[in-house]
Amino acid sequence: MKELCLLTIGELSGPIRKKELSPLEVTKSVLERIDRLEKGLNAYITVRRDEALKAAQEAEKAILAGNYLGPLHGIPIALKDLFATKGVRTTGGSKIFADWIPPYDATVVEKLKNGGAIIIGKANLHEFAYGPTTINPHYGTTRNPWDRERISGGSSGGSAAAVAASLCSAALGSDTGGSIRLPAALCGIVGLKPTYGRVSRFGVMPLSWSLDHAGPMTKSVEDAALVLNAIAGWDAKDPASSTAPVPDFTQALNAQVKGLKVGVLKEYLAEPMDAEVYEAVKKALATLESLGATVAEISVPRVKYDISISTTILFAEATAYHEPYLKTRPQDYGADVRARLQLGYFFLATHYLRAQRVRRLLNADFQAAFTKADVLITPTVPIAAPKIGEDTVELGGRVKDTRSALVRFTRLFNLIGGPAISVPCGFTAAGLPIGLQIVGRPWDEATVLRVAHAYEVHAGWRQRQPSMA
Amino acid sequence: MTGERQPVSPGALRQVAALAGLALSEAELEQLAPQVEIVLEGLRRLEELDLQDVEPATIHPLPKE
Repeated sequence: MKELCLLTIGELSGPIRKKELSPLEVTKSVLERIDRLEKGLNAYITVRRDEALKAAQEAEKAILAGNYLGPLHGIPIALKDLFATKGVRTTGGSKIFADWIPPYDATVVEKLKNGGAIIIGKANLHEFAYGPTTINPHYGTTRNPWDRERISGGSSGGSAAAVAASLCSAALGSDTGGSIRLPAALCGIVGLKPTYGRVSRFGVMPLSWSLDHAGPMTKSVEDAALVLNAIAGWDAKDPASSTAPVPDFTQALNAQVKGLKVGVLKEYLAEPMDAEVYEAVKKALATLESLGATVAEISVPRVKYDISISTTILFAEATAYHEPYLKTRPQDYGADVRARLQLGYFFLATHYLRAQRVRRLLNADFQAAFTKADVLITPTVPIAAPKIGEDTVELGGRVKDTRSALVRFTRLFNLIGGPAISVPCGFTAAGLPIGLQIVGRPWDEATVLRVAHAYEVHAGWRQRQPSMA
Repeated sequence: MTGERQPVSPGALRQVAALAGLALSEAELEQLAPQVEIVLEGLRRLEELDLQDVEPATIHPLPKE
């Protein structure tokens, strides 16, 4: 019988609801696995052993008394240590907030707790979410469960590694330029960036106000839908929060894509990428075609401006947020994050506004693109997980900066704000995961989840687990 | 306005940093200069686009009540 920590939320919640399985046994299983494996992975900054066991006991009591709160009741969830958690150290992966104990929960944390989830711990991240590797100078590097000499990606690297290694049943991450999707791809799990405004950002330390998103990182697409159900919805405390109605996202999981129009972003498919990534994505498209979807190339020429726009907006907004600390405690930042924050001072307000005007053009371009396709597909990351400390990679015969390569295909979709998910779509010959990115119209998480689920069920990559010997 | 592109100098960055109240060492300025140039190059490419009548995505419609 499979260890409880290896099961998905979908596999756990039924037996928990029917009182056939105790949340305490699930939490103990996860904590035992953390005891065995966490040292080699460094996925967590804080593990809440005693508190989690206590919460699991309370969940057990409540469920036995007939007070079942829903599919997340009794499920151990990790939180990226960017999410304010009442009474629990919340560091932002930084020295600056090393001792901060918030007096409140982030809205999404409150929602998880109200749904009976067990907060198992606070996951490691790239300092202040401002990087794609989770090589953290203050809390150490999070290692990839598939190859511990390689990065887990970032910035939600701890969350990704914890889910991939079953050190939690699911996790929350944040995504400003790919920080849910790219570590999900590198660690072989599912990561969903919802539509901007779908999930409250209140209590999530900002990196870039107009690019930040919070979302689920899970073992399966079904689990992503279950967590999204719990955390989505309007929040008065988040000025970007939308009153858009929240459907039951699990209703979309019917494994049917017949008649759906899948667009392949021509400009991204022409970008340099590892041959194995290209082949895996082509095979995934063939799978979707075999399931009855039509696949066609879609061209959005102004995509070529995506990195310039994204960089300008990100630099300005991140530096503005960090200004008080950057000026008084620059030495307490890691060198890479400090340099990026300093860069934000050297661009003008007119540069920022130019970028925001081109952003509006891109939004219109994608509105038009989505009249020809129901979803767009790209690789999530052009490479598999690089080795720790590998600052450059070879792509298309040229040497590229690793950090830039990692976020090449993800940053655009923070600009245009629609839902985007990464699902596993294969492995390299070296056994490293490859991710497929599926992007939808704003507010159409349902179609994104539907396509992702159909692919996941038919492709079968989810069954492969990292060998954690 | 077109003209020959001038590389960003540590001196220019020093002036901007002073305006921003940011204390940077010479080594930091030298390290930052090429990175600033890369971003400015990308911004120059945005000048190719006709942005007449295009408002920034920062516009904030007010709530109904």
